[in-house]
Amino acid sequence: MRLGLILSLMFHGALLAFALISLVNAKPLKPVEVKSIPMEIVDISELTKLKAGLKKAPEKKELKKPDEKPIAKQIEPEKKKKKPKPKRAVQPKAEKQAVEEVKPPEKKEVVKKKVEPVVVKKKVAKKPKPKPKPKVKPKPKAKIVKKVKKKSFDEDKIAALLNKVPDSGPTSSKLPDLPGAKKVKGDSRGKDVRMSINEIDAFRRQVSRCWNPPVGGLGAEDLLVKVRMELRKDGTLKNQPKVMNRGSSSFFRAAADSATRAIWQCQPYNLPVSKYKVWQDMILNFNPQDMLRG
Amino acid sequence: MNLAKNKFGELPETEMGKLFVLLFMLIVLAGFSVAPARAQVEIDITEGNVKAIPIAVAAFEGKSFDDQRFAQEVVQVIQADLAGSGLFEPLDPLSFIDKGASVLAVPKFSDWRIIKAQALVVGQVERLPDGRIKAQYRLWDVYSGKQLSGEQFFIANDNWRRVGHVIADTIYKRLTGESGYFDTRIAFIDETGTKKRRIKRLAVMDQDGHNMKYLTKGQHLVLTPRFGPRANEITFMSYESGLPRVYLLNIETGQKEVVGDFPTMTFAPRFSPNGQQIIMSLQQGANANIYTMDLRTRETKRLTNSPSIDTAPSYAPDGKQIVFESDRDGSKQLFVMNGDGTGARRISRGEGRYSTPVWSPRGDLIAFTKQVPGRFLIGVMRPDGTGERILTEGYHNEGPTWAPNGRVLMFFRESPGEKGGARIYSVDLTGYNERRIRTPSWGSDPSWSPRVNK
Repeated sequence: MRLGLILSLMFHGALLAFALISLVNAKPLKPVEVKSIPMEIVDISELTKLKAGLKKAPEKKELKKPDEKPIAKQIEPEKKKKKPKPKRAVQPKAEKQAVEEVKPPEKKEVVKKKVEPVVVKKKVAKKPKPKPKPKVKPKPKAKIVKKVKKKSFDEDKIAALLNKVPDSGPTSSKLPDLPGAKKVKGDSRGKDVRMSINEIDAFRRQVSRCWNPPVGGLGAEDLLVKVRMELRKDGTLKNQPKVMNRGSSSFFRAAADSATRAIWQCQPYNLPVSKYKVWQDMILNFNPQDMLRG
Repeated sequence: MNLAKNKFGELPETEMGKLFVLLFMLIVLAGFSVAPARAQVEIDITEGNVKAIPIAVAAFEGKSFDDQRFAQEVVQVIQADLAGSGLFEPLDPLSFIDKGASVLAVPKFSDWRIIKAQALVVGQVERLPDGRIKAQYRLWDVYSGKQLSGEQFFIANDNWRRVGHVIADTIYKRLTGESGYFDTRIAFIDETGTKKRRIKRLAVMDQDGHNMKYLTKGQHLVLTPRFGPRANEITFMSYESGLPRVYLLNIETGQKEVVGDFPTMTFAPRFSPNGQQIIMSLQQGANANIYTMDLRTRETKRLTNSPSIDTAPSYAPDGKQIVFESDRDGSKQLFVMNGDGTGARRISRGEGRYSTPVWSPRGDLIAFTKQVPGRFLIGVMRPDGTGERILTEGYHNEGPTWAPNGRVLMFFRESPGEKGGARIYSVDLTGYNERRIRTPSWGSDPSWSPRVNK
């Protein structure tokens, strides 16, 4: 009896553990997508998430002071020398260009860190005013934003003046805020940020357009190629997409190549910059199932 | 529930404790292994865009002036093969930015990306003093910058076009995952003269219509040539001796022999997958039954015995089953039986009459001709009769034959009227990319060879 019981207990334990591993691993993200079907909810969550991120903002203040300007000044002129476009020096246009242009040169980590909070603050700055509802939250945020702006604005403008290139003014004012970005943990956990179904759909369509799968092959129905892609903020690939699963057949190899080719070819991807944390590192499951019918 | 509780109670506490610790550890372990999986967004891409892959075949290098001209012709063969498959779109060489791509250097991929090439082929050919051809090539993925394949090989000079076919085959295989079919031949019946007085000659040619060669002179009616598994043997039916008989022919040596010593007419021959047997129909009164003959022992064996016309047998690639047509149920239908003739069962269930079944070389499908009032269709179905799909239709289509990779079919189509005649066509398994195969005059009864050089 006892032996049987122990065995049965162990067996059940093993089963439980196995279930925990295999079931949870299965496809954790699908339910998340389903939840986000109502579009408006996603928009709201976007806002609330941003606020949550700022709760822990105090860290930022300390960090910002030392880093900001010297780095920004040094880096920016370099970038602009490389790029011919900004030199045209039309100020109103320049603002927009500058935001976009900062993104590509991500070879230096410092720049990455900086880019993220810029976006956050922009939105916060615009939104807190119309929203009186949140009880305590809006006030501190607004203050922070104002403080940051006051500090950074003057000096940045000076930096801008010092620069030969007029465009630098607006960009430099945004960049100093960035070092804090990584420290805002509320954001980086990524739980609050979700891509809406519309955004996922648009992205899916973009990849599908470029994907030229080998169809008609024997076993094409069971084909699954998992590819991990890491993106920069401007929607271009950070590095080679990696095929995560293995297959021995020449058919799998051809399919895997077609999938990575599609990812290469389709960049840059149009994804909401505010949700960069979510899409900077994604796994795409390529499966031509829907294309094969009898 | 109570019982369970009692049993738990019986266990000494220490053991219970151990078990719980074990369980706990397992759960913790499971938790750790799961955590990272949650962090990433996964998106399913379930649809793609089926279009030809844009591929750039750069000018091959040649050491001498002659070699360079030869290289140009090889490139043309490769381009024609790839374009003919419908799966590739060879780009116009005039659009190339980098005109001097070499096998010895890593290409400048940005130049190829601009013209939207996804793959790039560079190569070199050289005629050696001993009469052979040396060829090398590399296939590059333009977007990831990685070499997909690269080979060097030697080929006898007697058929230089094969250099192009062999290279096209490896490109096809690397990019589609299935073996190519360009280095293959077609046996067919060449037809000349008016419709009432047709001269039919047995002929073979390359898959792309080049290098045609007559194997018979046209004095006798010949029909249904079928390649064996070794690509140099053909079995066919001929009226040479007055009575229709099945013959065996070696197309390289020209050696020919009658298969079996039967008193009545034999027809619809085909090789077994191992090439050791010929399977065919033997006329018996108003009926016909299916027989095999072993080519070594000359032993014949009867597989069907029914008061009906059983014909057009074709082996599954593993040799364990045979599909054939029979009118035992009233009209012509398709049946599958075991290799020894037992267990025959009908597989065709649609309306219309089914004939000339051919088992795909990869085993997953059976191609057939289907006749419905006013039309002939070419289609495929699974060996159990499900999943019937029509690939093409017309006034008179007949006699499908499979490419060795089981992805493409050839058949012949006859046009109506006094001046009409038969032409050979190919069609993709998906029903797309129907193309006419170039023949010098009318052509019918195509049979696709296995790959010449495996």
